[in-house]
Amino acid sequence: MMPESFMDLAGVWIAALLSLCVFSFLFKDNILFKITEAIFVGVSVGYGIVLSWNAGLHPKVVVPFMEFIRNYHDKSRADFFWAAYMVVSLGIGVLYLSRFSPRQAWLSRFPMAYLMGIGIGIGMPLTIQSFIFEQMRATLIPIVVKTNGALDWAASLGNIALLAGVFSVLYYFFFSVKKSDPVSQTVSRVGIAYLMLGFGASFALTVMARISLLSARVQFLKDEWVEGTLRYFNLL
Amino acid sequence: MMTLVLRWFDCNYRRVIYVLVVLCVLVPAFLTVRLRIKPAGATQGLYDAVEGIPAARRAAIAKLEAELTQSTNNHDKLTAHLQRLRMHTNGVLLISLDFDPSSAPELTPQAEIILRHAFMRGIPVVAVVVSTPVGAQLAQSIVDRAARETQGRYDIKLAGRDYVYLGYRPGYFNLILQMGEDISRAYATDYAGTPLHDLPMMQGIKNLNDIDLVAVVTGFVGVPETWIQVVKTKYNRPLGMGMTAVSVADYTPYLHSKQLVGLLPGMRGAAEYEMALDAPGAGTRGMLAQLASHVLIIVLIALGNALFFVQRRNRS
Repeated sequence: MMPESFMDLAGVWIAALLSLCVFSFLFKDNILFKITEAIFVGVSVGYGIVLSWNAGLHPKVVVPFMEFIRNYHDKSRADFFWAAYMVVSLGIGVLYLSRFSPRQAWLSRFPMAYLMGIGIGIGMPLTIQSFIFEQMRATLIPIVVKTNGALDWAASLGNIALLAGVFSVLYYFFFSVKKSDPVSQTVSRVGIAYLMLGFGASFALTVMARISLLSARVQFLKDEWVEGTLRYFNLL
Repeated sequence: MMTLVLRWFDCNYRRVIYVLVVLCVLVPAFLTVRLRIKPAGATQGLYDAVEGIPAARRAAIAKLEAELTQSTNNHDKLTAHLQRLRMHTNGVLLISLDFDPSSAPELTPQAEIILRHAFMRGIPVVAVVVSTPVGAQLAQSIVDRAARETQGRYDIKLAGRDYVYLGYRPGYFNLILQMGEDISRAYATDYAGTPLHDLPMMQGIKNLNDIDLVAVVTGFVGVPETWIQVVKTKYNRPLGMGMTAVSVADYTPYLHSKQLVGLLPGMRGAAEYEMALDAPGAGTRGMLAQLASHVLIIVLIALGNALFFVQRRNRS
């Protein structure tokens, strides 16, 4: 891929050099890595603040309020209720800033309580339905599966393995009873084996994810930095 | 001499492994070998769901027409809904691009191939970002690039006519809930600042009931749960996901419980989707590096274990 302008090329060079600075940590911790880390954090926070203002506060609060103040004499009672609601909401939000003062920090509990109340009220029924009932329903499966009247061995074994996994892992985390008899110990060990399989899968997927990140960065360095620069100067 | 080499290796084995991993990733970047990749069931599920959007829209229109002839309740509401559905006979895809640059290498190929698939089939797309302001511009560039470069049976896609990019708004739980009621309440304007009622495409899209499939490409833990709660549980709309490979193990149960129609696991998921669509791209390119690296890691794990047993035997 060839950069379209000199500014594009400069951007690619900055990105490539910062990538190399990050990779330099693999050799050992150094000042270049620390500078790059600080740039990344600073840019992310600055960019996030500006975008949050542009996408949230400005269009949702500042613009409607200014419009309301400019035309307040034409507004209906409902509009005044809306304005009062916004003022109260903003006031509750501003209380968050009290955390900066050790003496007034207790005021920040009000917006937290407000948000927690709303979150629990809206979220609890949906959470129970989505993550408990639906998952329980998915576990209520037949042990013997028949396809066109014939026994489907693969599906049946799959369902048995799933049920065995669910019950043995649940039993392993059941700490109220001492598991001293051979049956309890065997069931717990089966639960541990299932957990280990799960952790193994997670580890392998993590390796895959990290290799993907490295692979994409190496591809960027090859295609856009080295080849892009050579193409820009007609050397390739 | 051997002792010196072993002592040097003991001190520097980490760097040797780094160099080997870099070689495994770098060398395949220069090769043009294409691996044969078979789409897994989870990937095929999402592919089929996108492929089936026009058919799902036709079925929804037919169902609503039948409902209108049989029932007199909510006649105006049903008629308005039917009018909206008829405006986009190919259906509508809502895609949420919830990732930032740190997970972009894995998730950009997924987002691109889903968008390309929709554009190739002439499906209008509404794209949003709900969880990170940092990803807003990145998402816009992905949507614009996919629209610009996709050649299908239809014309080149135009913003506002064939796709709409709404950008980022804070407070994702409330935002997704609002989208269920009225998208224009959640997003008054698109990312460029144009009011939604001025965009021709949005005339036929009011809320999640007018969306045939929601695809969420995310690199954040917690965000998928919210989408499942609202889109699947509350509004019962089809939901598919693409996510970083790290998170896939946590969300596979939702595939099994049919709360998700499909799930793309990291770059591998993108490669499988590209194969299903027969449009190789960034995902397929990355698979050779994955193969080489995984072989190296398996060999290193085996060697490490063998060395451990040898050292234990020598000690005893």
